[in-house]
Amino acid sequence: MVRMVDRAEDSDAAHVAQTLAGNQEAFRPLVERYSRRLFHLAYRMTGNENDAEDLVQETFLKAYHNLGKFEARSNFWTWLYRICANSSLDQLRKRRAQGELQELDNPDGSLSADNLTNPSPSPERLLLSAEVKQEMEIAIRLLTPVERTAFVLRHHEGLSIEEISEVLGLRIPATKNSVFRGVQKLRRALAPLAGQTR
Amino acid sequence: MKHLDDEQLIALYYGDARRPDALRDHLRACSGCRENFSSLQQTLGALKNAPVPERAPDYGSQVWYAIASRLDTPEKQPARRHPVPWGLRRIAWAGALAAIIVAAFLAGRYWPRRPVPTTATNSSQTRQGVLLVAVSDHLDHAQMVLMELANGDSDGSSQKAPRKIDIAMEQERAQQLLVSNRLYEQTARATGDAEIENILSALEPVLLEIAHSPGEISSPQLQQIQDRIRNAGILFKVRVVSSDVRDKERSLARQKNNGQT
Repeated sequence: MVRMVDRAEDSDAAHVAQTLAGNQEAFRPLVERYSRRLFHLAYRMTGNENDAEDLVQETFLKAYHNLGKFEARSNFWTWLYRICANSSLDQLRKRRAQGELQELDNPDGSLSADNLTNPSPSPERLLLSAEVKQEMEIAIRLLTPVERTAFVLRHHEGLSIEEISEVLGLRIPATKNSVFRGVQKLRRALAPLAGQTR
Repeated sequence: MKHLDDEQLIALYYGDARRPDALRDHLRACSGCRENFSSLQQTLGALKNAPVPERAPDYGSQVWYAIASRLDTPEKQPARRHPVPWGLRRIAWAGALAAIIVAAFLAGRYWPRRPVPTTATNSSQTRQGVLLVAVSDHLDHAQMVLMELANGDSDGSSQKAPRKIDIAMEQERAQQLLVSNRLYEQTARATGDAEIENILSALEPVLLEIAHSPGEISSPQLQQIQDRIRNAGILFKVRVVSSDVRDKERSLARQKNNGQT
């Protein structure tokens, strides 16, 4: 799992123990310590600030209410991280079922000029950096929730395939394949921009 | 000279390649692969640099104030001895969900109602959309189970003693998938979607075989399942139909959006 071992680990365990003993305020340092890191993960997963903020809160609430299930030998950050990744995945799936993650790709997976200007076409030409950023956001929405989660954990969070398969509850070949498919889709989608980013 | 495929290049990028030195030697000698790898690095590098909006330094305190009122006593329950794997729980829920979706879909389709053209079309599209998303997820799950078995190591030749392979998880997943598979197949038949009906009907015997296998099987038994998956070309068919289903999903969503504007 996530290797983020530091001195905070011992104090995390102490805070967890105090919280479990009934001292609610002992949970506060854990929230203050990890909120920003969790926000980064949640934002990468959802691509939306409000959703990411909601996910951070949801993660701490879930962690607090399930603190009894946390094993003292484990790393608190790793546990938190796992809750957040799974909550994000659930949210991506819900959004997809509600049709919010809309079909912005062409059948071949590449992005068209129309995609770049959706949803509100601007008469002014977008600055290249904004254009690239928007393309990337659109491209990552082409991934299925599992592909996106696996990709974010591998690419942005640096987790190994084994660690990701543990987080997602998948076998290693399926995890490898999710990362592979995600990267392939992103490459195809971003191919038209490859020249501009050089 | 055989070129490096995307899988090898991606593995090399992430440091997961089995023989990284050999791949690097190839890249030094092959300008086509070098260019391909460089384009991959460029795309992934650009993605890595995509910014995340910064939060204020006191963001942690803000989160604390937002949740503090919603905290009560944490449950002091012990960890489950045999936690159900996350993927399995999801599939179990998917089975129940399949029943609800199918029932809702068929009820909407066959329940007598007064004709109200526009609303009826929208609600029929919505139902169709929900069904397509559900079938698409179902095919994704099925694909994962098949892939894990198809890629499983069945080569027991180097082993002195006959090796047992644990497929309990796939077996349980296949059992769950079988239930939703049948429900979706009935729905596809009722709605006249031959492509979905055919793939689900082709999937059923394979899922059935996996579901009825013992939790631990020998290498030859795994080989037998793998042959069945391979000979039926089922993985390829699932991928093709899965992709078609996604296209339909998108086209339906487009129609819906166009109808709204």
